[in-house]
Amino acid sequence: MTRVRSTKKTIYGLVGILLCFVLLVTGCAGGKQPAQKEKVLYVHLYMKPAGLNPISSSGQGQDRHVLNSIYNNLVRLSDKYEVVPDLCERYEVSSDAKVFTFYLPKNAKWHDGKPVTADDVVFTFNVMLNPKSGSWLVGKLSEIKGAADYKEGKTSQVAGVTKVDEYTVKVELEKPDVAFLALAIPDMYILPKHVLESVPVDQLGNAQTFRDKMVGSGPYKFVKYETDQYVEVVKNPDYWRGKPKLDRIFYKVLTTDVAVAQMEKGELDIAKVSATDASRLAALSHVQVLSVPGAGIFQMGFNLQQPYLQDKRVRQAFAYAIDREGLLKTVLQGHGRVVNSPIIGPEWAVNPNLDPYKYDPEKAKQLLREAKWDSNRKLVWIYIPGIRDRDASYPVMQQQLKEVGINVEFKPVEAAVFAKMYLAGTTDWDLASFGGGVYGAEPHVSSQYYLSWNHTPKGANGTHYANPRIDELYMQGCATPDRATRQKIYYEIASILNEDMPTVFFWANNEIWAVNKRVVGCKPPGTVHTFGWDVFDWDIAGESK
Amino acid sequence: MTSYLARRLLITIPVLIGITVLTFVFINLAPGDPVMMMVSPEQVAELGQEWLEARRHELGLDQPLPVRYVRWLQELAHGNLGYSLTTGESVAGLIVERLPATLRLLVAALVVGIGIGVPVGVLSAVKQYSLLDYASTIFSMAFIAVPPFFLGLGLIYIFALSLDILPTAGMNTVGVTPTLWDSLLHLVLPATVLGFGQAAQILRYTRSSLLQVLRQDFVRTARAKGLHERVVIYRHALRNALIPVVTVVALNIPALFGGAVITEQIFQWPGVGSLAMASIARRDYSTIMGVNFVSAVLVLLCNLAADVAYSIIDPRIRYR
Repeated sequence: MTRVRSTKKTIYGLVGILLCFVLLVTGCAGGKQPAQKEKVLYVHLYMKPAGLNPISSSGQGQDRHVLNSIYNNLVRLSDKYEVVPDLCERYEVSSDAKVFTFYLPKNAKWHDGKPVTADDVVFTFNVMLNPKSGSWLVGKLSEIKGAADYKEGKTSQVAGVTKVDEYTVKVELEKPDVAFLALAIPDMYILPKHVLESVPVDQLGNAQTFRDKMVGSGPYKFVKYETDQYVEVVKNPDYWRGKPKLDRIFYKVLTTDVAVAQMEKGELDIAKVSATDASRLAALSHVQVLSVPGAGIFQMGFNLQQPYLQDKRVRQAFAYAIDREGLLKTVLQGHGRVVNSPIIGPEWAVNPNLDPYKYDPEKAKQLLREAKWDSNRKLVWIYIPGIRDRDASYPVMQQQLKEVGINVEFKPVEAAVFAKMYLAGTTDWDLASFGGGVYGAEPHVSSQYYLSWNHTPKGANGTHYANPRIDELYMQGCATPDRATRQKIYYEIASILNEDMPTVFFWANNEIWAVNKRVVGCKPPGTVHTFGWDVFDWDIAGESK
Repeated sequence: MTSYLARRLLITIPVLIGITVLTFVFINLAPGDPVMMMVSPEQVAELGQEWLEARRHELGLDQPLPVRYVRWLQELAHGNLGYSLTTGESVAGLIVERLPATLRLLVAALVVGIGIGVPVGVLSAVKQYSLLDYASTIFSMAFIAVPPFFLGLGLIYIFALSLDILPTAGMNTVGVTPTLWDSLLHLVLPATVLGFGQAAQILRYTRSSLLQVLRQDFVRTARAKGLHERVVIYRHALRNALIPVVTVVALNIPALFGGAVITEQIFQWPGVGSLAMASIARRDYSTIMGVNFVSAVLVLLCNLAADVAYSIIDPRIRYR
């Protein structure tokens, strides 16, 4: 019948056209890479850049990935958490750990050709300490002498930052703190005075301001930011340390699943991956997987304001009751290490003789009996959900605690709510777990969480731990640059905290990086915060697949 | 008709004000604010309360709610959608920046949706209970049920990884000057993910609506007159059957505009949906209000367009 045949014809016709289309598509699918003569690298950005502003968004790891190639810092932290000079030939720390002197290289130039001088460094410090600029370093740099007066507007410049000569800058602190060098200076990108001094201070933190003023002194120049898609940087052939080896770098914003797919295809060269993806990628011949010890600690703090948590035997029971080694193997496939104190790095500071609190439920029960623990008591445990390995371990921990007679009730809360509860110093929670931090970069980092004058809501000591000996030791530890003295001090701190256990430390997870084997000279660090510290050394040798 | 249109447009104004008030109240009720969202909980302690309060003051967040709302409304009356609280860029600028991407995806998804949904729906209705009918029913059930995340990743795995004939993500190949061909290739997968969902819906509506119409007396009359079956279906029956389809498409347009978030996330498509999602997560009140307002306007306009379209398609419907 005519009507059936004509309908069939239409369908066949459409299918035919579709087939032709598919054939054309397959035929033309090649030729995606740019000119083969250019050396181009593709790096993964795990989140959209917050603003690419070296003043206000340099606290975000993904922004730093990009900023690390465009700007320099006076010093940077290497993948082993050592302080390495970046925009300085050398630096000096005074014996009382109060004065830091930086000697700038004499041949450093900005992307527009003008020379980098001490004026730029002084200008940068002043901008970063000015609360109106939106700088997130105002707190970290407030140890500098004269910072408080400058913040209140009593002085027009920060007194503690002085230009000694054209290429030398001296920074003086209010009180001795050798950790300032490792914790504050590497976070500060050096900015060009001649480009930014004409911009009103309160607009400097605006993301738009920097789009056309991204003049840095680093090995790569900013080309463009295709909003929420990718950032492109191009080689700076006049870089003062020498010619960078790559021509172009693209930082691509992708979800982790797509990033893993692109790594397999060879379209992406470097990406941070999870433990589950790691095993899949390690099987590929063109990818190497590097598991780097991290600087953050997954831990659970006790609210020591609660009277029933004040017996240290109860707290130690927690550590014995939870099988930390076992959980690490299960949820993170062993990509991490169990730790027993907040001082987990650098290597010289780690006390090897701490009590490991090996999984021992019987010992836990015994300690609870001695402390006369009431097993009918319910404890409220708050945490921020969203991290796969942590969320997977909570039910197991709850079960293991139940077996020794401790009842915990989990309360997942949003980040903003967690911050409100934990930092407000209230008693509506008993246990709080979280991760992150940069404990491994400098042993002094842990001080802010255990000093007795830092109790929340004033400071970050959420457990409200107070021990005069600890206070004394921490203050001594940051007051001298001598490593041998510091080591003794931090060994003792670790051993006291290991026994008092104001916090149960679970583990320090590794940062896992998948790197295409054609990439040379890249040493990814244990934290996304410092990734790109060695961008100048990156090179490509060979094909991507 | 003109008075009808005028009345409808006048009513949209109080409706829009109501929507914006509700949005404003709800987003401010949610815990957290843009300043807290800019930093991680660990950093909050480091920065100190004064830094947070100073930034809040800068952004005008310490003013009472009604004052802030009225100020926003005043700016809107002057045609200014405000400035993002997190990046300082103009909200209107942010939305316009995303429009090309969103429009591309929207049009492509609708083309795929209508292009597949209507013809297959018609064929299904005409050949009810045939193999094609059962196949299309399975198709529509499947694609209404399958979540876009699963579909998207599955398609990427098959076509981009295993077969390597389509790109993985993005609107264009990074670093190369965009060509029409390149853009089309990148459009295929995301448009398929969204379009098949649309197609499944439209297919169901077309099919059931046409089935009803085909049972009507006037269709029997047309057949009895000796008209060609094709003419009966396409000239007489289909036009009447399209009314619910028009509703579905008209309502889907604003939904696709700001709602294709998951697809946009997977394929890294910089559309309005991901802008909305990101600004909600960051509690960027200005951007949320701006995007919501534009979305609301779009919904109201599309509804009005759908109603006007009825009166064009169906002579029985007339507005006074």
